[in-house]
Amino acid sequence: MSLLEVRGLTRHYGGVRAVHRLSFDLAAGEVCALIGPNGAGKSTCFALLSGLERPDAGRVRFAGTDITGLPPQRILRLGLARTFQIPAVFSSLDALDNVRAALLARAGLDFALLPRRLRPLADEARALLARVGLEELADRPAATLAYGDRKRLELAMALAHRPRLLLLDEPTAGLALGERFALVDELLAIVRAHRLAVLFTEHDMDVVFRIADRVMVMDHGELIAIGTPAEIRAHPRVRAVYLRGGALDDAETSP
Amino acid sequence: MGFFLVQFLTGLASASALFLVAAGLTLVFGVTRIVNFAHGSLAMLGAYLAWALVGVLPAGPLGWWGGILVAALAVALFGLLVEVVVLRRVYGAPEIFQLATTFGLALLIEDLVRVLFGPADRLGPRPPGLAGTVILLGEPMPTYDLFLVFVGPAVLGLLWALARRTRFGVLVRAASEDREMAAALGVDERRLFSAVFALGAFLAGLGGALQLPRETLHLEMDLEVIVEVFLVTVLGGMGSIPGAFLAAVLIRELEAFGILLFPRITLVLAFLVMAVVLVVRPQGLLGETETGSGPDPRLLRPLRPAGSRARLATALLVGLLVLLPWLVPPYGLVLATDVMVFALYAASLHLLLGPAGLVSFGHAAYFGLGAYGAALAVDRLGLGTFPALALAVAAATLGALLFGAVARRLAGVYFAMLSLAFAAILWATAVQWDELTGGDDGILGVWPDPRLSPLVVWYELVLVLTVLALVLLRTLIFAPFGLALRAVRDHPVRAATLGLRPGALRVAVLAVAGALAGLAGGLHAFAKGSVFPDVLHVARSVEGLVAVLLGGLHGAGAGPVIGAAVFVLLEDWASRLPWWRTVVGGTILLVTVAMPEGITGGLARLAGRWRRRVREAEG
Amino acid sequence: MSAPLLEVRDLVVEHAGARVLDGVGFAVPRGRALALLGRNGAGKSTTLRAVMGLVPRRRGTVRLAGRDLERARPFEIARLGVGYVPEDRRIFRRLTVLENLEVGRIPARDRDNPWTPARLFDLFPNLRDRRHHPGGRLSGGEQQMLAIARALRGNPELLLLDEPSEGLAPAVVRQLLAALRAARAHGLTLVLSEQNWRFARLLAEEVCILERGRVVFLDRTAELDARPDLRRRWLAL
Repeated sequence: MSLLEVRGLTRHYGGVRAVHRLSFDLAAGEVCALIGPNGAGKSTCFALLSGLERPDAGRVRFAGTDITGLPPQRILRLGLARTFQIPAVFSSLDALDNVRAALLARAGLDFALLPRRLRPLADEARALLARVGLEELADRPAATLAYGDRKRLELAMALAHRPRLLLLDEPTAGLALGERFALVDELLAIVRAHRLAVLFTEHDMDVVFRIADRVMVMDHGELIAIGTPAEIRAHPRVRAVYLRGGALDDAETSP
Repeated sequence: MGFFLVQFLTGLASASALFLVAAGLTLVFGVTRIVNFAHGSLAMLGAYLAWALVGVLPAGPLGWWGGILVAALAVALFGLLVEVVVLRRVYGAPEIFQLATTFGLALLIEDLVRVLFGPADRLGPRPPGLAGTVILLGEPMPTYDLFLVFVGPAVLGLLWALARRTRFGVLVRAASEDREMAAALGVDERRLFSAVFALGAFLAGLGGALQLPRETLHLEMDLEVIVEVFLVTVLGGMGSIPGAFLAAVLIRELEAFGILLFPRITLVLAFLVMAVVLVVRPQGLLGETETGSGPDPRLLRPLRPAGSRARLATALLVGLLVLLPWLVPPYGLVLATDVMVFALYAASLHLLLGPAGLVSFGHAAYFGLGAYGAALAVDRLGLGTFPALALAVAAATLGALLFGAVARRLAGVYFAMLSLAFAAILWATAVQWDELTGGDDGILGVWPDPRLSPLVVWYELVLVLTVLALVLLRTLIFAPFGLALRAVRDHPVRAATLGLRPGALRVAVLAVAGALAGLAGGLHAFAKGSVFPDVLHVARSVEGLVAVLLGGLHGAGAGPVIGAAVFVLLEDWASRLPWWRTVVGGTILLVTVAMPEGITGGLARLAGRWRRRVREAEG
Repeated sequence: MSAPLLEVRDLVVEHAGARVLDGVGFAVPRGRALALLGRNGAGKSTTLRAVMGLVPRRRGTVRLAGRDLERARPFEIARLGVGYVPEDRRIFRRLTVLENLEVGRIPARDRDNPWTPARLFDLFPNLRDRRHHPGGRLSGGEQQMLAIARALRGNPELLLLDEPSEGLAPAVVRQLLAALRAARAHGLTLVLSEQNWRFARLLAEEVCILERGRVVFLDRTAELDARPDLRRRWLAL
């Protein structure tokens, strides 16, 4: 049985078909990329899966439960966590408290009124920071962390919920080239260690082809191709849409 | 039948004037993102100027209409001055500072009007030619009201034409959507903002001036107008002029007919309608979704528990306060009690403004509910001091839960404006429902139990309760609850996707803050021996806000206490001056424009500089 | 040789403590087109925004026709003759196509302005049929055309284009290319950021590759054309 089952997922804004009849499956432990030009519907797709937006039509099943239209908290509790394209961290909290905020949400402690209830969470929070290589920066306010470190912090916060599926929205956007592969390799190690499934969007094709088991391509809200990286590279429609520059024939456009 | 028609048309007539003022506010907000608290003051200024000009100019239509028009133009010019001198400095500031700044302006303008026109109520003449009445289906109706019925739609049409048919209108609409892009295309946004603000002020002045023949002018007009205008703009949707028109008509008709059913609680009715609308559409009838300006960058520092030296200093201070009755004369003790009650009130507000990031402009609601709860418990139920205080806390908590249920999804300025309106409606209820509250005469004889009433005993009781409450607040801020609140404040969407519950947390923190403000209100009632509607007044809400800003938003409790102490002492001194509004308003402007980190923030910076200098001297 | 129309020297921009631009410099003579290439996050958009005065510059100078833009605000830079087409188009969604163009008009530069709405509609015929539609209802391609038309309406000497071909169908890209070439026939100078090398090489004579906020390659387009190894290294094509 697949971990994630998406059937006919649809969301329109006014006349724009942001996501249109999207259907796919994701197996446990699978690393799958979702690519497509800007405005193809990737972000909307993530918002629908994580419960930030409600679909107009279609169903989503996760680990055997129908999660269509559930609020984000419920979806998270079932083991589906996400990160954001621009790292979304709590700027006024230090790195440790960012992770602790995630942990106390998992433990249902958000209404606990005694400061000492936070203490037991510190060890686990430090362990998670260590996992993403931030243990040295635990006391730093999140607002002062470098961009890449904020991405790492966000990952630690997502991992705090012991998810089975991670949705990563452009995990390497805004990172320098060297840093990009470092983060991706760390990510892959964590994913393999926990047998996590990952669905990620990404513009950098090197990253996509380096880590994805499977690639899905969206355009104008629809899924136009799905396959192994090699299949996608050779797919004519993908070449036309995604690597659209290829369609510009010199002879045709030169004056 | 005729009666209902006239009632309906009267509703439309007063909707017209309200719409004019509200359109100005919503227009300014749309472009500058500033909610102008002083907008009602501009309307008041327009009305008084019109009164003075109509009196001076030769009688006749030209004199009357000329007076109205010149008054509105003068207000526009005044608005331009205010924008250039003051508001330009706070465009980039967090919304709480913008609101506080414009409130400071409102206080200054009130004193200005008092000086220029005197404190007496004024009534203006009707315009020549429109002074009579017409008979509609057998019922008399003032001709001037009938004229006003057409003014609203006419101005709506003119504004529509301005927005659609002129380059200025196109640029205003473009800047409302995307200021930066408009600037990148060559639009001088500074001049555009000034022009829009002047236009908004003109509409306020005109709306105020046109009320001249219908209403008595008085110095409380500014707050009266701004509360109604806030209701209208929130209900209609911030930034939407047609929305403001729709909402003005809706609210005025509700009043016109509601007064037949519930003569005393017309405003309550308006609030209930708004509550229903906002639960369904948090962005108002025709508004667009508002995201708010995000967390205050000045708060973006982690909170750390105070060090051992600060703890020692606090303990010493509390010890000193315990011994105070033997150190100062009785008047000093009364003042110290006032300071503590006010510190408790300010600290409860700080919980909302600081850690929870909720811009509450109606905190007096909970203070007042507590005060009236305690007073009624003594006066009506004959309860003792402690049960009465318990009732005070319960009443305020209930009020906070009610408000939280309506406002939990509202962002930024919507929350601020609705909280202000909520408190204003409770105030109006306290004034009007005199069977229960005694109206303006208040409730007298609210004294503590005889064993508690000696000044020293009462002082020590207030001290113990205040210290306990402050310890509780500090504990909460550093508890998981407080951490969750700060997380939700920093990034609500992220917090929700992590499994925190922003809505529930907001309601809970409102309940806590409300309960403690209610306790402060109860203590206040016993300290004064009486309760009057002023415990619910907007001024009370803003006093708390000023104390918090004065003390500094950052931190876990010291700020509001220091701010409250400074504020009470300042007010104690200034209230003897005829100019106290100018003093308080000027203080607000000083704090928001020049000292945004408050006293604690300023001290912390000084301390840091001192430490660095010491280190350099040693190294 | 006359002074270049745009000269950027040692430009440093920081954001939230991170150095986004780290000493970027280049010059564009009047009438030429320069393409800024590089991956996502390399600093292309920030360079254009810094020229436009939209992000604070930490260090460095930007000169337009010899004039230092250090203290100039965005609207002044626009009035000096710089048109800006941002990455996400930023069409005024509630304004009609004609109203969007009106915002772009700069009265002080309007005399002898070749870019009347009629001329712009000749350049982008799709927009003519839609001139009374709100910007929010246009397709992605039409929004891009409108963003360019809006910038041209202000009669600029220099046009900054941030990823003009991003997310557009090939037919639209072709149309865009033709329109920009037509605009260049009027002496317009272009600086564009692009991820799409094939588009850039058809439009620009000079290329500048950014990597991590630094210029790693600055030469004539033909030079890069002959060096697939460099393209693979910096552009990962």
